[in-house]
Amino acid sequence: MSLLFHLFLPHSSNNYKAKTLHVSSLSALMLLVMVSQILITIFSRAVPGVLGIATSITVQELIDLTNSKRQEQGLPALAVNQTLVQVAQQKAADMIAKNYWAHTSPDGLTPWTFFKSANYKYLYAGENLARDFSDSTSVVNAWMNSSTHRENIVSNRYREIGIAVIHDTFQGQPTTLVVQMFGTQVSSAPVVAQKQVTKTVGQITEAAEAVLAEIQAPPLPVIDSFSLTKAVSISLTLILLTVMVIDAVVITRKRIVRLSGKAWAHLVFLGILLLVIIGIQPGLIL
Amino acid sequence: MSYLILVLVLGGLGGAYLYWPAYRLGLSLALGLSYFLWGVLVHKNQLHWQIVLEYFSLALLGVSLLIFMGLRA
Repeated sequence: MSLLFHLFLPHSSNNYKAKTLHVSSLSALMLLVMVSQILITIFSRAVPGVLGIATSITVQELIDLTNSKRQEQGLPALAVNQTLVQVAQQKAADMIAKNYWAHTSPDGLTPWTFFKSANYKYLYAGENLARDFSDSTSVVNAWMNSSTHRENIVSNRYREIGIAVIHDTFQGQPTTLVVQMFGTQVSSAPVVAQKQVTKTVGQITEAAEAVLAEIQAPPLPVIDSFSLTKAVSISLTLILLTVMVIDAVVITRKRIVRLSGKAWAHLVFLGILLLVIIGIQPGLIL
Repeated sequence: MSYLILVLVLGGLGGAYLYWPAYRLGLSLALGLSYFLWGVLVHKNQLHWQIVLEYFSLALLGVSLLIFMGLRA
């Protein structure tokens, strides 16, 4: 009991400041956060089935959601084109193979290079990218909230779509990459035969094909590392906020004078920190 | 007045952190640094190393949480 008083209440034993709020305790907590993050990273790599990213993104859901957004705008649904699917897969594999997150690769390959290499003769073409989202709805919503991505989804120029969803280790952590390719072919000729499609430019496919060959759907982890980090961060911030409020109340009531920072400022900082941590959602779009 | 500035600055940076995921690292550092500097400036007439350390450690803890959250997101 006295230990709890010592840790969480201003008391003569802790120089009238809860031990949890002492600089030494805050430093220890920070160290704990760092160590836990390192352990999560190591553990998620060592045992991917237990700790990792949990995602339920599927190609079909993304296509349905995209077409649903188009239909809301009175636009025709996009048809799935297998060549565009392959273009999307090649692009995703290229990003993993060359470790970049951009529309243009470090060696200067633009999205249009992938269209050309797959022999997709386009009149119009577009690309949306996303990573680290947990479900298909979040991906499409994030795209719809960005004017440039939304423009691709609800453009009346496009007739066809191809999507790749790839799970792999990307830039040092387990990731789900989503590549969405849009296009309208120059002619209304039927889609080129699968045999022709696979005959692509070596520069693009050599590394990318190796990645594609290795890629397997990962086991769904028992614990999502993002959710775990979020839960730990929220708990820690809530504990500090609670101790800070109790500390401020006791100090004010007992009229204790001590050398310390402003309790209200700490509460504002921790309060905003808590709101930001609660509000953060996984996923990046490009 | 100083509290209003603190709320506006931290709130603005927090909002930007959520809105622009690509700049989360820089915004985390800016948020922590702003809080630390605010603490130092507010206490400038009775600045003591214990107070400086208190703001510094709290800011650093907040920055660490935000950076790790940003990396996992």
